[in-house]
Amino acid sequence: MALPLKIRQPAKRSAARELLRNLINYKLLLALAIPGLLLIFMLNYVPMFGIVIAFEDFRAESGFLSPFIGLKNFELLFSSPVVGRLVANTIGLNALFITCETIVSVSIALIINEIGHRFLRRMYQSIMFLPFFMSWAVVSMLLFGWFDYEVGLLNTTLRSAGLERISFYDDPNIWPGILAFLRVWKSTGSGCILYLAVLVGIDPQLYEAAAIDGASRLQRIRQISLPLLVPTIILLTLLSIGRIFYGDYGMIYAIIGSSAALWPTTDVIDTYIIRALQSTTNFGMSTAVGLSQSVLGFICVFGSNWITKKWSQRRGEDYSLF
Amino acid sequence: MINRTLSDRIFSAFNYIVATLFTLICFIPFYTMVIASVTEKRALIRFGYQFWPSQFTLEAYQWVLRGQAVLTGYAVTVFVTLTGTLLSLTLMCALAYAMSNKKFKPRNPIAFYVYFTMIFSGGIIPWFITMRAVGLYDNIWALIVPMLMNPWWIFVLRNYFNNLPTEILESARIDGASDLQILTRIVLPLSTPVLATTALFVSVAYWNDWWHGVMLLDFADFRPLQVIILRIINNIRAIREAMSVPGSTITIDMSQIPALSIRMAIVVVTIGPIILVYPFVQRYFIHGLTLGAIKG
Amino acid sequence: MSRKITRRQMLYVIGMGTATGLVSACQSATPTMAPATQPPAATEAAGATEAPKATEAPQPTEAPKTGEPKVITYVDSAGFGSPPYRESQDPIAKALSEKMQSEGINLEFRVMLLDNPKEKYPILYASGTPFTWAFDAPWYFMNSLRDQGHLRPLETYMDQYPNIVKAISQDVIDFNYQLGHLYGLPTGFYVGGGASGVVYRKDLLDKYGMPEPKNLDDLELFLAEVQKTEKDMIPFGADDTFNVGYMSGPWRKWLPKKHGYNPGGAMVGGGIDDGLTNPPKYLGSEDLEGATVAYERARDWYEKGWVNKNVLQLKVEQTVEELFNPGKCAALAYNEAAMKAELTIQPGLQSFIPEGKAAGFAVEGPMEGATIQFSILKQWNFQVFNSHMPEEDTLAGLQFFNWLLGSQDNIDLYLFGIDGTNYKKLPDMKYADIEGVDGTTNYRRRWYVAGVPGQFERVPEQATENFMKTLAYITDLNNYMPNPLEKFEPERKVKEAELAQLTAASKEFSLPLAAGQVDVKEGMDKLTKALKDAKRDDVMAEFQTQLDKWIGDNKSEYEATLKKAQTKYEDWKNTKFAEYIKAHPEKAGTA
Repeated sequence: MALPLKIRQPAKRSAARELLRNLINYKLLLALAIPGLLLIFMLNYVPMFGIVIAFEDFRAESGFLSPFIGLKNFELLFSSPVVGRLVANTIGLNALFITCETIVSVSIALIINEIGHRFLRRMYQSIMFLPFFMSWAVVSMLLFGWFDYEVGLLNTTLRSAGLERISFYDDPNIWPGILAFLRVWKSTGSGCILYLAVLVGIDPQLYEAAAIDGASRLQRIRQISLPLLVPTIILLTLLSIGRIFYGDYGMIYAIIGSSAALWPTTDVIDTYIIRALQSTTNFGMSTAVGLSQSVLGFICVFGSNWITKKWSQRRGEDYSLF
Repeated sequence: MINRTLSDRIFSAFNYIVATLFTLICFIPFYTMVIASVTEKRALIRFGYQFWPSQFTLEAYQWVLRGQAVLTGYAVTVFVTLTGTLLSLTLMCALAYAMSNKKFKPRNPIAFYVYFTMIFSGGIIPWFITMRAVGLYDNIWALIVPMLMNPWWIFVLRNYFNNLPTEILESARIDGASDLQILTRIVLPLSTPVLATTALFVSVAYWNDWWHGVMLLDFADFRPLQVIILRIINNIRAIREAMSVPGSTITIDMSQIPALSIRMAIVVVTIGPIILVYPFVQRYFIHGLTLGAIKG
Repeated sequence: MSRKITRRQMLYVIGMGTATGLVSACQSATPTMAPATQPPAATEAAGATEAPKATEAPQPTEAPKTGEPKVITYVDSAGFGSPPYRESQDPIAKALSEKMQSEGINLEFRVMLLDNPKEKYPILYASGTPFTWAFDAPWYFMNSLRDQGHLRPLETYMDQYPNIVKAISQDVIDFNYQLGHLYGLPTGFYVGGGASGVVYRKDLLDKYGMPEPKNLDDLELFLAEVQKTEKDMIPFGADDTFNVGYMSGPWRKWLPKKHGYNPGGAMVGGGIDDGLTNPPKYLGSEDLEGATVAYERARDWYEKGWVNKNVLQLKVEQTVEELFNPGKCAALAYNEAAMKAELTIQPGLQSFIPEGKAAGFAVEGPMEGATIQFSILKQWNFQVFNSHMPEEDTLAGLQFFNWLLGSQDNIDLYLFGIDGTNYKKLPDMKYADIEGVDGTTNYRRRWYVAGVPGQFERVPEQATENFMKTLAYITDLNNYMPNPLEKFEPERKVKEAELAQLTAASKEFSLPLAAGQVDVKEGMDKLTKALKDAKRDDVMAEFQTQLDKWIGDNKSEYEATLKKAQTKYEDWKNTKFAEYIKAHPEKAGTA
């Protein structure tokens, strides 16, 4: 269910006046849009000339007009013996992150929105926001401080209690889960704010009307709150899908680092490429990898945007990005 | 609420339990971090993370806050954050509003134009060349302008504007309001929650930004707070690295440097001001101006 | 990306170097001076202003001595031991400029500090940002920057700058041509790898009444005793760089018979089997002599419970020293352990355990005669000049170095700052820290990244006898064999993508092996398979072709050096090694 969106027929006016009005409005809208569009052009589109080096053998003397070498720079990623694993890990982890984060953020937003106690509501919300500010380096240090085999709090406790220690850093299969948990832990406080912003904007009369009709709180969530969150959920998911081929290097490098035993499930395109190119500075190759990640992500987002468009238009809405 | 049925009560209890549990999960690591930042360095290494500092000290904070540079760093960062947030919000709202207007024909191409920059980029060298060419180098604008337009928030704003009840906007239009009037008198007040959210995240992004300071400032005599702090970490790491490099004769006693707790103290120092400001912003998205308020 | 890699990379390269005997030499080189001997006379400063020999290149000293000084910019990649603060660096830059100008050289020295050099440094070239020179190295970005043409070849200018040539020495310069050109000023000092060693708890050793360990077999006795006696202690602490696999040298019955070498450090997952045989052959790492010894030892110690299980999780602020200092482990691998144990590690240990004492020894034991290695004249660190700048900018930069290396006073100012403010000058090329000066912000530049050969750097006053002895040994060419292949530099651009893939594959499977976490046979099979999948054998074949061609082109020089090396080896075998075997009969018949 969505808000009742009945578009009223505008009152009849003279055609000429209407046209003028539209033109003025249109101009105004253009005037509003143009400064931002120009900035985006300058900051983002102008530097895109650099994509050409993905197809070149970059040389100092000729710069961006270096010799064209076709797709040679793409070999680093696509002829790698582990390319299958890298792509699977990158997409798999990102899909896991997106799913978990969305579900938890939406649930927590709904839960906080249901909490009547003003002080508690604010406190919950503020505290959940704290992990957002902790850098992955610090998170990695704390994680090590608890789960490490030799000095971790958990294992030293187990050892002093005479129990078998747990070797967390040996089992690659548990780490996608741990990484997803960390992502959820770090992003829920900030992620749920967006959903809360939508929820507090909902007309309380809608709830009251439903309550009078005898709907339970759970039913009200299902019938009023959740549908209103759908556009935001879809938007944020679509925005994330565009970068689904980009691994979260900052997190994975900080948390996993050199623990090679965990790489089978956690090595993503970005960590692999940075490891492979650690002492070279071939910008052609790194641009080629980035371009591949972008193009693949773009295909995904184009597809999902099209599906969203078809699906939402059937319901008389448009949740698509463009 | 009117009738509190049993299921509502159970539901309510469930909410409190889940929220409390999740809050604890978020709080404990943060608390541990704060405690670690005030624990004596040797105690920290010997006993690991504790719930109460076995030996209390503020040495990590003395390290982070020493020197004049931190004060000027704060000033630079505050200026950049305020100016940047204000400009960014204005520009992004203007663009998002235009994109949300259903009569605006080029709205979809524009949305595509904006989204495209989220996925594709030219890479770091052409970006650096462009920034230098347009004068965003070695001056304060280099810290502000590159972060003004964030596609993510443009879409969030557009989406929110999109979902405002059309009937209100239409009735205003019928009353003869121009688009500008509709934007400033109706759309923006109705959008307080999302504006507050965007402002919060944009300002946090400015506050936490070290990348532009590191990339675009070379000979300028000011640095934002984050860069000054980054240097402290770099410095310690550099000494540690230099120590184990062949040929090194470093005589600095590394054990005198609270390297672990400095990392923790840095987080506390940088988010301190945000935590102070946060409650004031929070009321806008916790108890935002609601539709009812406007209508009434 | 973490700067950790930088150090790791450097240590990795050096560790690999000693592990496979990746060291090299040339008989024709003059021995590099040990410190405290023959600093250039201060009077030589005058030499800096003498007109260099006339050549077709513009003469730097003809620059006008009045008017605005020419600004030269040095890119300081913060992260190698100089404080990243303007307040620390500017006064010294000013002092250097003033001293230079008062001596008639109209240059202004300026430092560009990079806060994230790993990302920004290479961008400076490609974006055309103006600067004169920077620190770089083959283990850093030098090879690919060179291949892309960002570095200016310097060979045609060298004869105009006598002080540079004199300080670095003509021989070191000759050995550092890459693909026909001199792409930077090499920073030389050590001629042999004394890198891998062990630091251990001397106080515990004394408590057990054990003799000082000289090799890994002695160390094993100590580790076993620690395991038996100290309940809460890990005998041997290791991290992803300083681990059991990092150490090379005699262990049980193994004494190296061959002298492996990896020219230019270019090959990944293989190397030349024996630099003393003709013709030399590239082999995969699994076929190299002693390839698995270090892994077997790592596995053995790991299974005995002598090594911490979190070897690969130790990083950032949690390195192995965090285990050693608070007394959680009793020994660890370290480079130049004998030197550094007392100088840099002991203070940290004593801050936790006041009665703790750290001592170290070089495990491979070249000083004891157990092994002999190739000498190294090919340097790891360089000062490189930006080819995007006009030629006169590079000449001005070289003129700076010519001035700098002309007098010990200049070098002291450049490396240590102002006497009395930043350090205290002592006789015999020593220095002292000034009480109350914060070491972390105090100006200091390290010779190995500053373009100053190590013999011109003062030694700390607390340097021990042990330190000086080791230093003297590893800077004396007579202790090493000349390396007939050292001048060969493989061209890697043709196999760039393959080498990058090999690097990634090698890291993944060699780290757990070096940590002892996997069965050696199984781990080696996996490593070999991953390397083969990444087209290791293609790359090896390419390098072999290049090597064969190089030997064909340089036949007489190669054969002459090879002869010298073989003679040196026979000499060593009949004298030092014979003595070693007499003292260690249990090792007989293995070398």
